Amino acid sequence: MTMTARDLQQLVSDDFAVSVGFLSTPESLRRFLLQSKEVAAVKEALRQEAITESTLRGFVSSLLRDMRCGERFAHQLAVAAVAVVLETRATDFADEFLHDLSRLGLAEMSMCIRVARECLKHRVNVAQNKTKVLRLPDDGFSRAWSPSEPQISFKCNAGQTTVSRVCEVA
Amino acid sequence: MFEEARLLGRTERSIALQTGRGTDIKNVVQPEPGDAGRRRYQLLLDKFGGNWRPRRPATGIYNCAGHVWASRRTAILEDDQWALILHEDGYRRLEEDEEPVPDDLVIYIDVGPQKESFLHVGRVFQLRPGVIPASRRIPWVVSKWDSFSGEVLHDPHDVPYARQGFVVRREYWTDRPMPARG
Repeated sequence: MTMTARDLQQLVSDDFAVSVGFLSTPESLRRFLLQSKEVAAVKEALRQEAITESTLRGFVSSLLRDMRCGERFAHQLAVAAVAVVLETRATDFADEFLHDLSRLGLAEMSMCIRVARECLKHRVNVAQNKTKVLRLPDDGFSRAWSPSEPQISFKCNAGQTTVSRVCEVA
Repeated sequence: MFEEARLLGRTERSIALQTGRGTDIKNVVQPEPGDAGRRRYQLLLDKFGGNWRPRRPATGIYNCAGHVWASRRTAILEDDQWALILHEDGYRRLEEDEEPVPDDLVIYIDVGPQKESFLHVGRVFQLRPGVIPASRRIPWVVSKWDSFSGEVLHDPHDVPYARQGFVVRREYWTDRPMPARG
C-alpha cells in the first residue's frame, strides 16, 4: 500500500474511531480532528502533493457508497476529517467540498455536515485575518496588508501615496 | 461533490423544542447506529468503560444534551443551543462549597488553547457516601456519550476526555434557587 493510501485508510480505521472517542458536538469533534495526527498526515500529504484533491474526491465518493438510509453513516468521522483537512486550503475543491457537505440535510450524516459548517465559519475567520505582504514593483516598497483594508497607504519619498491596485502578492 | 447524497433529499427530522422562555432549540432526531455504530461503541466501551455500569445499549435518537434537556427524544448538537438552554431555563453553576443533588447536571468543558467549548453533559442520579463520614458525598452520573452510544452510570471523574488530550473543567449546574446564606 502506498503512503498515500495508508494516510487515507487511517481515517476509516478502528484505531482512529477509538482515538476520537465520544464527542457530542460538532465543534468539539472539529477541534479534536485539528489536533489529530491522522488529519495532520493527510494535510501534509496534500501539501507535498503525495495525494491530490482528485484522490480525496474519489476516497469520499467510495465511502458514500456505504451509506444506508435510516442508519448512522459509518464513515462520518472520515468525512469530517477530510472537511477539517480542507478548512484552511484555499482551492475551489475545498470550497466546493465544504459548501456542498454543509448544505446537505441528511440525518445519517448530521455530525459531519455540522463539522463542515464549523469549518466554514473558521475558514471565513482565517481569510479575514490573513495578512499578506504586498510589493510595489515601482519602488520595491513592501508592507503587510489585510484583506479587510479597502486600500493601502504608503509613505515613500514622494509623500503619502494611496494604492488601490495590488501589484504583487508575496 | 455529494451528488448521490443529495439525491436522498432531506432526511433530517427535528421535534418542537423550546426553552422555558419560548425560544426554539435546534435539534435533530438521530438515526440508529447500525452494526458498524454498535461495533464502534463496543470498542469504546472496551477502552474507556472498565468501571462504567451500562444502563442501556447503543441507540440513536438523542445525544447527551437530548438526554438531559429533551427527554431522550432528539439530539441537541450545537454548543450555542446548550448555552441558550442554560441561560433561558434559569440554570446556575454551583458554588465550590455547594454539593450537587440528584437531577443536577455535570457539564464538561474543553478549556484548551482555543475558545472554551462544551464536551458533554450528564445527569447526577445519586450521591454515594464519601471515603469517611465527614467527607463530601460522591455524585454518580448517568451519561449518554454521543448520538449513537448507549447510556452508562459512572463516577464523574471517570470520563474519556483527558485520555484523548482534552484539558477539561468539570462544573455542576442546577435549576434550584441559590441557597440562603446565613
